[in-house]
Amino acid sequence: MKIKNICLFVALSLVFACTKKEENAPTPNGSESSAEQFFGTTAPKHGKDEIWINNREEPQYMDPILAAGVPDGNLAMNAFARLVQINPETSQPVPDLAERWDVLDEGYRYIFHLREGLKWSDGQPLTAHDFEYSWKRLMNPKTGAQYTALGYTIVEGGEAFGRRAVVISGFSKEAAIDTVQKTLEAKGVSIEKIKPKFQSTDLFVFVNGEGKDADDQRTKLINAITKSNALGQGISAKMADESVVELRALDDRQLEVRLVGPLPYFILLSEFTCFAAVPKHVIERIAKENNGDESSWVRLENIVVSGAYKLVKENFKIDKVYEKNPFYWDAANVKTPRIRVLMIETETAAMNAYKVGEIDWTGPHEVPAEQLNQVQNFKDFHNDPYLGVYYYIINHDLPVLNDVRVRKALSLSIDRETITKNVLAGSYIPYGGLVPDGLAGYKSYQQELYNPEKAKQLLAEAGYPEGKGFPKFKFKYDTKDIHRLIIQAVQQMWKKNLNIDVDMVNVEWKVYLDDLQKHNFEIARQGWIGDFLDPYTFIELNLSNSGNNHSNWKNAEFDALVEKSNQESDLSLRMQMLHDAEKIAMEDQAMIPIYLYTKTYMLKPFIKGFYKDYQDHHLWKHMWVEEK
Amino acid sequence: MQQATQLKETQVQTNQNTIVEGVSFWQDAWKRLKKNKAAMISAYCVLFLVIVCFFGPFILNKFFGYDFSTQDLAYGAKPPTLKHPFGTDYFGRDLLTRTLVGGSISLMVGLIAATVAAIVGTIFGSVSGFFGGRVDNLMMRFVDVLYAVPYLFLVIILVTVIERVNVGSIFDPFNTVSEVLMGLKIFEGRLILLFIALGLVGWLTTARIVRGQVLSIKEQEFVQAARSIGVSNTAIIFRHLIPNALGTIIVYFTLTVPSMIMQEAFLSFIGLGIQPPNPSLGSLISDGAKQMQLYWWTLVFPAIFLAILLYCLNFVGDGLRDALDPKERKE
Repeated sequence: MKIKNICLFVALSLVFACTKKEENAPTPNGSESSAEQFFGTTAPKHGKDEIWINNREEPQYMDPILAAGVPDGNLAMNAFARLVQINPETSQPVPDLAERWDVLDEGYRYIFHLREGLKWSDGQPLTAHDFEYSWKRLMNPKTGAQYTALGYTIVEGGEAFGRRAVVISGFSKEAAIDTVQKTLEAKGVSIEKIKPKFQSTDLFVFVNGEGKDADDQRTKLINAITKSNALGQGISAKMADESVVELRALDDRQLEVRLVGPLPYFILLSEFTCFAAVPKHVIERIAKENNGDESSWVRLENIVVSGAYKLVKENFKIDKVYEKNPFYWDAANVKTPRIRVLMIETETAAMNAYKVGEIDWTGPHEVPAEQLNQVQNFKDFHNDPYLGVYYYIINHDLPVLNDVRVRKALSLSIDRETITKNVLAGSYIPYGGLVPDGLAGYKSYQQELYNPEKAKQLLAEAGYPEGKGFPKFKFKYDTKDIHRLIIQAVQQMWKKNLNIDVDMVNVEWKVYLDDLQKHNFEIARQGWIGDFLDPYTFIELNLSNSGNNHSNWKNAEFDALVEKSNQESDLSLRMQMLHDAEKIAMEDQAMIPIYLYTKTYMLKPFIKGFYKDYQDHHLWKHMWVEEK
Repeated sequence: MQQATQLKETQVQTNQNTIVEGVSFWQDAWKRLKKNKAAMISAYCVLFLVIVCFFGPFILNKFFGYDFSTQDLAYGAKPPTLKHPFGTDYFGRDLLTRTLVGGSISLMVGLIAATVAAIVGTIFGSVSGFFGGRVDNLMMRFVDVLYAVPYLFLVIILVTVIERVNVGSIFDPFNTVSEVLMGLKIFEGRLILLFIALGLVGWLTTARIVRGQVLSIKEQEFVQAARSIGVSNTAIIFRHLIPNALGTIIVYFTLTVPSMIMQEAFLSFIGLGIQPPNPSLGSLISDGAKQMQLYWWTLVFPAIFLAILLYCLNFVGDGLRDALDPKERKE
């Protein structure tokens, strides 16, 4: 009886195998009618009033100021409005909450004029004071936003607040910075730099060190001035607070901001989600109720938004439902009443959900590499240019990887051409730079891509001939099929060309982000999607004090050059400086670039108002379902 | 009269001879096993698979130059041909080689984890059963507590905890052997974690079964006899109790091997098991399942291989139980 069962099982599996073969034989790939076909269903499954989209993961933060990952950003940008928005047709900044803005003092000063009668989703008035609060909250080190440096480095006085400088005031006339520095250093304070306050005789003193060390330095500094009168009588010192930031609401509808330089990208930058307004009245109430912990203001029962959509329902790791916010100033032009956001973690599952009509757009997921050949002739397959670089991030704190020859060897032994062509089915472009080409006239610096001989030689020079004695290191990546495919190929290339071994460690998205921030990795995969259409969004990643610098690569020359470029009003000179900075980073192999993104996705033909976007930002408020 | 007596004596002698030669317990079991056709066919099948798994990759490498880890990205995934009877995977690696190496890793995991489980379980169970009373109570409640923790949960915790400790270096001699045979170090990284983790949680049932056996054996006369002449407790356990429970232990061991292989396949399937480029049947099936709409062979062959292996191992286990423990057999 049992033997019969086996035979039956074997026979069945063989039959199964054969039928599978037959089903697969006429794949749509290459058949003549395929261009007329769609991969998925073409009738709206959820009616006219709802669009179902995929957003890949449960977001790490719902707060627009803290949002950093792509899934976080997608939710934040639809729920929280900024002063400006990008016109999806022209890619130019156009007014959103601000109706217009004045550029004053040769690009150093901006005044935004807010629209009349703006309201939060709870009906409270939305004023310029909310923006002042929000932007200062971004710069405040206590908030702990990843983009905090992006906020404080552009606004005059922001750095003093964001990096907790000490303000020395009471000078009758402009003090000589050198003398002050020498006097204070004689008192045993380790000083990084001293900067004068804007239009004032006050000085900002930045101390060296991090965390508690820096706190000790600050206390010492303040004591030296206030108690032992190191700089003379009448001179006082205190910690910089938010009042030193040159950002203020002139009245309910006017916001004035003074920049550190004539930053040409400022308007584009102010469209970025972390410059959204957050409801001061709600956050302060929540903080009061919870002994200073404000994190729960984004919970379903508390959240108040300024944008086109408001969260109305959520199931952890399953879906979130957003409904049109009637208080949004342009609500009349928001066409779809409800958006359901699903969190489908794997690409294959997203493709299946799309195929049966469960979701209308595959969202941040790419089409799985293995499936590209099959779907790329369908009409609902799209492949758009995308402002992003895929790279491997190196932990420069590790002694082994802190050698430029080792980093170069690792980079030169990766055959990027083969990866993009064979592993990724030709959808991406091999790349050797930090910044994608073609951003506002920027020309990227390209390093040599593949040279296994030179790689071997460099590794030998670094003391590991033929990979001997090179420690086995761990490669960290988040759960996504595509990263797994790429690293498997790279693992083999490193083994073949350098004879070094890599262990792969696969972690969940939130754990992965957390590990990156805590430098808890050796080498990890990383993709960076530009936050605004300027090279600075990529250059900023490698600044020593950037919250996005997870590799701990620090280079004073690079920092100085980038800072100088922010003061430069000549656009072509500025681009040249950024290019030189990029060259410094690439020659030191701050990271290992692999390829330039393009965005592959599936979109139902009945979704209208969906525009191609270099940043893959697709606002729901433009989209609607067209029923036949 | 005398003649008659002589005749009788020879008869008795011949009778005695046959009785003296007799059949031992093991011979009897072997006889019974031989009669069980399903078990015998399965046993030969397992033997064949073991030989093929452990020597196949070596031969394929020697004569065809196939290797389980060397990629040919330009070649990519191709359906089965004469050159590659199982086809190739997404990275252009021969799937037959990978399936065989995966099979040998799965078998190693199964055997080693089951051995660890059997040894720990036997010692724990016999000690608990022999001493009885409060000791037994304590030890068995400990087993109950571990039982209450979900099996998979425990393995996941163990894998994440032990991962931080580097234990591979103790096993270097084994690694050299396995590297020559299969081209990879068996006792390294995630693999050794799998051995330990699966072994550590697999001994619970064995311990209970052995305890039950020991409880009944220790009341028998020969144990009491041994006790009365002052044989030490340790000697009683190892000389009398365990050998007498050996039949049950072996049966349970053979049934643990396939279940361990299944567990390993499952852990690898969810990404906790073996890490690339090393294959195991579970990780091969996991990769295949993701691509089944396009490259059916990457799923079908490893899956059939695993199914056959598990079926055969289970049949051998069943057959052994019938043979060694005739009381339990349903005639």
